[in-house]
Amino acid sequence: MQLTRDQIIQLAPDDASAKAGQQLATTSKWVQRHAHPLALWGDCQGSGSSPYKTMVDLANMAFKCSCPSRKFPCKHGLGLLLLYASSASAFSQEAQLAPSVEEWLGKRVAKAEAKEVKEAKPVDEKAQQKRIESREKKVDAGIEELRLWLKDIMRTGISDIPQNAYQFSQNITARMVDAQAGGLATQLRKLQKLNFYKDGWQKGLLGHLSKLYLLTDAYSRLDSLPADWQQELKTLVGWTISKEEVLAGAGQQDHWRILSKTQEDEGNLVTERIWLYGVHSQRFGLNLNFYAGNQLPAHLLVAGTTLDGELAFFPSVTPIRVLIKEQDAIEPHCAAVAGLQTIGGMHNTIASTLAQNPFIAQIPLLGSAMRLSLQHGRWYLVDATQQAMALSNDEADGWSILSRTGGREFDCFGLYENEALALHGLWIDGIYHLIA
Amino acid sequence: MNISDEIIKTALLGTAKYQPTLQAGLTALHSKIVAAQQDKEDTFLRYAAAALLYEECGQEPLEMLESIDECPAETQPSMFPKTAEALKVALADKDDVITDYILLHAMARKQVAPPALAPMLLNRALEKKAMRQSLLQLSGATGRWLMELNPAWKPLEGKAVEADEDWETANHETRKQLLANLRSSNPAEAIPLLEAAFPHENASNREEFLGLLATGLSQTDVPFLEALRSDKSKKVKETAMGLLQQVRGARIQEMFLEFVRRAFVVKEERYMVFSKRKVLEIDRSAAPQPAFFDCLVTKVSSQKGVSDELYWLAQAVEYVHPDDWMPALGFAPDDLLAKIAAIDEGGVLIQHLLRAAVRYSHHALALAFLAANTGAQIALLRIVSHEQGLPFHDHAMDANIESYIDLLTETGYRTIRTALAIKVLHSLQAAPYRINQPIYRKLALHLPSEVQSTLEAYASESGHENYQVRYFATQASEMLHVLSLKENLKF
Repeated sequence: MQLTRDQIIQLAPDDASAKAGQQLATTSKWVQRHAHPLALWGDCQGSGSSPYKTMVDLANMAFKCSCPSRKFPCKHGLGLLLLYASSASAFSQEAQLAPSVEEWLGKRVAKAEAKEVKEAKPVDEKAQQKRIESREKKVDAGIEELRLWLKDIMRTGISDIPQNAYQFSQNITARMVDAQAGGLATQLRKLQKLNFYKDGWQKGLLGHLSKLYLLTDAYSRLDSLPADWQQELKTLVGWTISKEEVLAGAGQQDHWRILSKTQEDEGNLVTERIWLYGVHSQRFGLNLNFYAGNQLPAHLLVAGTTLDGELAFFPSVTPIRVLIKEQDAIEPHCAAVAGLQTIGGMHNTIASTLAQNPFIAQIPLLGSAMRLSLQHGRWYLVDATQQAMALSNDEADGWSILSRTGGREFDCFGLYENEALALHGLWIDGIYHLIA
Repeated sequence: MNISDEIIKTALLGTAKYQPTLQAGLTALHSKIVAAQQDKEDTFLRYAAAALLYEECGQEPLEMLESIDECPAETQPSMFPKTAEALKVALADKDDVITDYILLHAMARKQVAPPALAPMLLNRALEKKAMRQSLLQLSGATGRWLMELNPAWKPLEGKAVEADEDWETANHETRKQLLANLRSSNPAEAIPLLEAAFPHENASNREEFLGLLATGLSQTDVPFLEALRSDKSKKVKETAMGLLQQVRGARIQEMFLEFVRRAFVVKEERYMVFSKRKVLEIDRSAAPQPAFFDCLVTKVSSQKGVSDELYWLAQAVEYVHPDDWMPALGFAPDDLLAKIAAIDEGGVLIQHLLRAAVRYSHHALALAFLAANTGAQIALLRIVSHEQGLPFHDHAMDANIESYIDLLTETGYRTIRTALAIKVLHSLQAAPYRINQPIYRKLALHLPSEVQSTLEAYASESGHENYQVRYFATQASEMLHVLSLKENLKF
């Protein structure tokens, strides 16, 4: 698989690694450069006496390097891949893998197989039940406090909140963490990210607060709700389902287009969101990963490629969050998929999704034959009948999209959130372009 | 009124002070909520959540009345994808060295960048005035189309069509550009424009305009410049005088020339009993006309050990064209230099003659000065052809490597000969801090691929104990990177 430069840059753990990798993408830095359909390997002359031995698994996108860097992938892995992308002819094409590379790839396969047959550890059900009961009590108490807090805010009004935007929800967020209601704490943290300098902040804030109240209301009646709703609400409040449990369920085999990959840094925690779309199943999937500190990434998936494999969906009223159950192959392309041709159709999808699950935060949408328009400094997505939807992309994104499309029709992928659509990628002449 | 307006009003004021008026269509829902209510706040929060969702789900698409016209088709060829990728990286990193290299080569082939790069090119054009024209041209049809649409890029439009700009309505900066263009293409046309504009311009603007007349300076400009000798501003007067001193055939130069011709005297003297030879002498009694000292000439010698009379002559020599007085003396340029050097206090004359050679780009004198190694090699090498200058490159490099590299790198990315390149690298390794990193990178774009092994050897010394060697190893490594990048670029 040969990735483009932009796709390789996405794999870099940070900007410094991306830059250092580009510096190493020159033949003079590599004493040896070998390519095989399954892997790349080479020796990079660093500051030490012996060169670093770097390997890249092209089939499943994995890296190995003898350098002491704690970043993953390291600059040498990125440099080797970037060099291959820019001058594949500089590599000697090998019919056989080098023994060390073959051994590494073999170990990876063996490790993946071992994971599959890993047996579940015996569980002390009594102790587990006790822990659950104890947590339930804490969560219930926390929710009661949150309801009181929400009511207090409504009683006095929200007009003073912008003056105290950062601190007004800090204590209650901490309280939700103590109450082991992590989902609610996450929802509360989002309040601090609201732009109180932008017109319409009142509606955004009220929407968040009232939905939180609705959630606590629904949670208090958990026992009277259907099983799928019980699971949905418990997840929203912060009860987690183990990965093993999700993976044990039925999977969905498909060609999954990887439409976007974003990372959000929240202090010590990085949240990675990878949006996928199944060509045959016509389902969206969201692979959500959380990394603390120097934790290694779960997958090196690249937006703008296609994953052939099986995904397991988390149980939900609107199942969307997924885990990768089996990864067969990755193709370096992301061919266009049919989307909605009218803005009215998009609104219908939004309405039906919200009717099914009012707590859903982001609604993925695919559009076909759309154009871009600009009015009073704001960008809009426009269909053939001149119906439009506001975009939340910033000004620079808008000009970038316009320059690529030349004002002509394009297909696109975006996420609807807070009454606007954020475009993440577009197809022009069948080629997928990410909006940086 | 929107459903949300009433709810937001309540939220802002607080339920203690205000209760929302119910909207038609939501009364049934509200009744259900009220039936199960705990308190006012409970009712409001539930009602708000339901009403906002109700409003969001019922939203109609907006009607867009205006649409953006499609971008006209590009008529020029697009640059190679890998070159475009390198340009994208260079623009993102604000790497002017690589950007300039790509710009020059793409422009020579009339290539344009892919449409996706147009916003980056336009943004860079706003920041980098010197590269603006090239960046705009490289942005192609997409760039011109975007400039029309984005008010932030609109100011660039004018810069792209300077030739059509009207002098009368243009601002000062645009006028300067128009004047500069006019002096390059049709110098005489600039004078009537300035004559009309000067009464309305302040001294600073007048001085700036005058500075642009140095290009295409001729006899035609003399009446205008003479008139400015009585300008109110001292700076304008001095600038006009400076220009007049350089116009061949102008009254001032004629006066200077007359003094020079009188001061240099060729005499014959007996040599080896039977033969005679020509000797150059200075007639120190040949005083210049009184008006000479009204022409920015320094009356008292500033040079130690140089008489005032000789210093006046040296200043006159600097401004008159060598071809107007040298041939009459009958000496070849190298012979003349030797004879002047032999005169008592002749050093000061040599220095001012050197300036004249540079000022008038006098080819024969430049070669003579290069051979005599009297200094200013870089300026002199710019006058002679590359081949003629090659024998003197070593001197130039030893004298001032920074200026020498400037010379090597200002000739449209001509590749330096391998032997010379290795010599330059060796010289730099001895004192690597003499040039900065952008200059190293610029130099790399002029290096032949044959120096790769030399650079690799330098780059391998990154662990050396001497900090200068380590620094040069880093620069060598960077130069290798640039060299490799250059080899991958196709135009």
